[in-house]
Amino acid sequence: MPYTELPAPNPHERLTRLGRLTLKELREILRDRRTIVTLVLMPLLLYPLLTIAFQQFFVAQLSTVETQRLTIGFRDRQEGHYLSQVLDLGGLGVVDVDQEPPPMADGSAPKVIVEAGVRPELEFGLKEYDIHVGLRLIDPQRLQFDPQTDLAVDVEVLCRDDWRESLDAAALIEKHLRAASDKFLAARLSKLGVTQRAVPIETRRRVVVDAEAGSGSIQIMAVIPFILILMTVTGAVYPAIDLTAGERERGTLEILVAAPIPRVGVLFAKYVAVLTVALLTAAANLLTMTITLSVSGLGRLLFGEHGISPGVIAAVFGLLLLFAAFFSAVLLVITSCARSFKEAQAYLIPLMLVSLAPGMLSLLPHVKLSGLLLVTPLANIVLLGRELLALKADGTSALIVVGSTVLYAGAALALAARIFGAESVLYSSQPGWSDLFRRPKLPQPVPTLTAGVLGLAVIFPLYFFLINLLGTRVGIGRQLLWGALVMAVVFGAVPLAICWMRRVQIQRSFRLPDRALVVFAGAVLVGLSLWTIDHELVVLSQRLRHVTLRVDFLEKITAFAAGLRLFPAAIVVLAVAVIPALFEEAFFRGFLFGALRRSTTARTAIIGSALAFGFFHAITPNPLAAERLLSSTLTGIVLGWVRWRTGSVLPGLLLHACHNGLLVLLMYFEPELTARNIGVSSDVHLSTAWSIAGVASVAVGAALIAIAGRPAEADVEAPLSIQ
Amino acid sequence: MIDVRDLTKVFPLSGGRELTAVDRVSFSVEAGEVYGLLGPNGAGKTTTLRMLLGLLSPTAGYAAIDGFRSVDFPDEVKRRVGLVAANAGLYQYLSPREMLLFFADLYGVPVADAQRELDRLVQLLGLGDFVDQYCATLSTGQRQRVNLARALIHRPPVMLLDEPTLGLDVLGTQVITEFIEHLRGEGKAVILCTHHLDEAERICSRFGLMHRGRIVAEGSLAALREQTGCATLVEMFLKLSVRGPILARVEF
Repeated sequence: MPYTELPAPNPHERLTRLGRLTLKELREILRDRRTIVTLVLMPLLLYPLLTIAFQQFFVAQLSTVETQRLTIGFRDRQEGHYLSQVLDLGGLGVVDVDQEPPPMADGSAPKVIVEAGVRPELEFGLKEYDIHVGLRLIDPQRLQFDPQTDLAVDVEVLCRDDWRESLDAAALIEKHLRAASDKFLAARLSKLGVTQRAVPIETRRRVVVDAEAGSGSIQIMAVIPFILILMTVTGAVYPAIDLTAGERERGTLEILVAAPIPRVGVLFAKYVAVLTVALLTAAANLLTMTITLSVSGLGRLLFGEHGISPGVIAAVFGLLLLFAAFFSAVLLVITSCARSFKEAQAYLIPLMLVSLAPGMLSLLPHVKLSGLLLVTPLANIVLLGRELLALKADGTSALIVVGSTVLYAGAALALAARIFGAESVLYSSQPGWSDLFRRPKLPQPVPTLTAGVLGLAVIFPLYFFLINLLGTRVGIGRQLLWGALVMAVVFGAVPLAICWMRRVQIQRSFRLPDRALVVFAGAVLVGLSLWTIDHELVVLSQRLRHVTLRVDFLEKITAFAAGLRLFPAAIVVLAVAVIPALFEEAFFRGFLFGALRRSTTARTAIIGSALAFGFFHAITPNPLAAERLLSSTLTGIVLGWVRWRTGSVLPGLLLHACHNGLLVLLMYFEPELTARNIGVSSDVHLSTAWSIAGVASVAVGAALIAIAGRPAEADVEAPLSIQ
Repeated sequence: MIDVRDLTKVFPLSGGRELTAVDRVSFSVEAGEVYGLLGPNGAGKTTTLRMLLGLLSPTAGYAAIDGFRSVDFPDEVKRRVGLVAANAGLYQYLSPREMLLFFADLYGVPVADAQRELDRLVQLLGLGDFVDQYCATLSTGQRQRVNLARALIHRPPVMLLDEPTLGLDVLGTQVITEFIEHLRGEGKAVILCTHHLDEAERICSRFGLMHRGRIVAEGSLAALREQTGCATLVEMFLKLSVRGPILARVEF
């Protein structure tokens, strides 16, 4: 049959082909018995065993444990009778061994039952664990107990210091003997006509955080997601190795990369397959764990009378999905470098150990989901899981955890695509890491998609970490300087370094657009009027989330604005408006937009860069950050459109600087504006006239930019091929 | 159809040393021609094929198929080539049918066309008895026939066959040899790397004898006889590669 040219597949065909590739990978991996063992057998064995362990080690810490029985030994019946009376006076009822105590007034079981018996050899009784504590009088002759006369009784409490229950019993007995002593003294003083109470200074300890209801259950809450995460890892490891290093070992990798399909496509199919197996493992584990918890009764102890709820199960599954998405990508990076199963396993052992550390850290009750931990891989997921189970998770934290994890997964996948099937992995005897750092021979007009995703994954956590490093207790001047410095380093130096590594000519994004004057006029007009739409979206978001501005937030804003007035307006505009605009545009519309446009349509590039822009503004340290997600994303769409339409970053930069500058100046001159009755509160809708004027100005500005037309050379960044 | 010019590959070694695996190799192959790329182990035949397909980047020179250079248009090159490598494996938990359809999909062959081509190849290569078994259960000969079918499922105009008869018995070797004749009849340009010199002599229309990364003799069998003064490929092989550069320095 003669060779015929095959037509290039359209997006729909590409998608369905990707689906078929994924199905092939899944079919292959699920037919392997080793996958089934991990998927089904492991959870069936693990959870019953873990439940037994939990019951042994954790149940004692919970509030609804079985009644504890403490046994006191007396030397003889007479001493026993006397000391029981004393303890009774101190508030501790003692019953004979084998005798059931009287029921509590509310019908519940008592926490502690103290039973007593005669043991002539108290030391022997303790040695044999027959009694928890022994009580005897040092001078057994003086047994009177009458407030009419003086009393001086010395009691010896015998206990073991290597037995916690013995020490607890001794402490309990001493406490009640002290109480009896105080009561006797009070009665005696009263008899003598002294008004002074028996204990002149008495302390009362008040526990603010109930340890039993709090940290104990919280720690178990953290253990549950941690175990589920570990089991999800075990499910993902085998398929990840088999579908990458296994291909090399079987000799199928060469024929796979000899096919005309982008590596990223092949790897994405493998990623979906690994993720699916990981999720099947997670689902099997979650199901088995839920059944085991319900059957064993541990679920009621941990989650209340109704046990684990469907909502909690769904939340935990969502968390496992997030984790599996991240970890599957990381696994593929590591295993793609390996040329055999053995080598992949050797690489994965350190990864597993490194992964355990943040997970273990998050088991500590005082570790909170805040600061750097919000963007620390794995630790942030475990901590979010703990907060979800305790129903304490907040939306902004969850957004940061989910967003940063998705970015890390994307970056890992992009790295894996660079390594998978690379020359050094296929044919070299040396490890394949060198492909990650190899500079291309020819200059690139725009970054690759891989470089774009990698840039995002590095920049977001780095910015989050650095911007929160200084704190808010320093002066405004330092805050401005630090903010500008961080912006320059993170959004300037990091993309530049990546561009150098990948030989990207980023300066091409900064060319002057055609009909520059008309375009710049349009950009200024949009920049000065876009705030009206942004403002409405922020107010709308607040209403939707039922958020009202707190007094402390308003005070902070006022103090910040007052602080700004200590500096000249030009400095403030430069630090808060121009510098962020410059570096944000260089990154989001220069670096990232170019990377997205190289491999996708213009629409996808605009929306993708806008979502990243919106997410970045949502994680900035600002009480209204979450509400800004919608408005910042919209601003990002406008800026992305301007970038596409003009083929340059410069008009968007001007638009962005005008937008920021106007808002900063409004804040700076707020007292003067308020004195003239000009201004608007952050939580009140604009008047209809202002809204119409704002929308009309944006439309005119956009029309000016649109009529200037697209420069022909803007197509230099049109899709080339998926790298 | 196949054009190779001054193709060179230098591998870096530890300690700053280098190995020139392929050294300024040039040849061309037309449609309907079977070109025998022959040489001892380590001569650079496989590296040449890998550069031709774009799996390895050349240090210098170029390789092109149908006018597309493998460095600049790797996908266009891959689309036109079917590769059968000696060490190529199969997916253990897929059947030959599933595997062939999977590769057809990778090459963008529409499902209906792929199914038709699969039926033709099953008939042609005698895969009918085991086409629905897991590949893990197949014999060496059966596996190599599946590999051939896999390389042909997208109907490529160029076939690169790297030791396609390695490990096969006489019968298996005969099946493959006859099939290569069939490929020539279909008008495909074929490069065959093999150690079965008698078979190569029978099938190939032209030859390139490689040694230490260089083509030391090239042309038809008659031209080679004239160049080397030897009657058979075996004699040429020994003279050019073994007795010449290597054994000349060995004392007998």
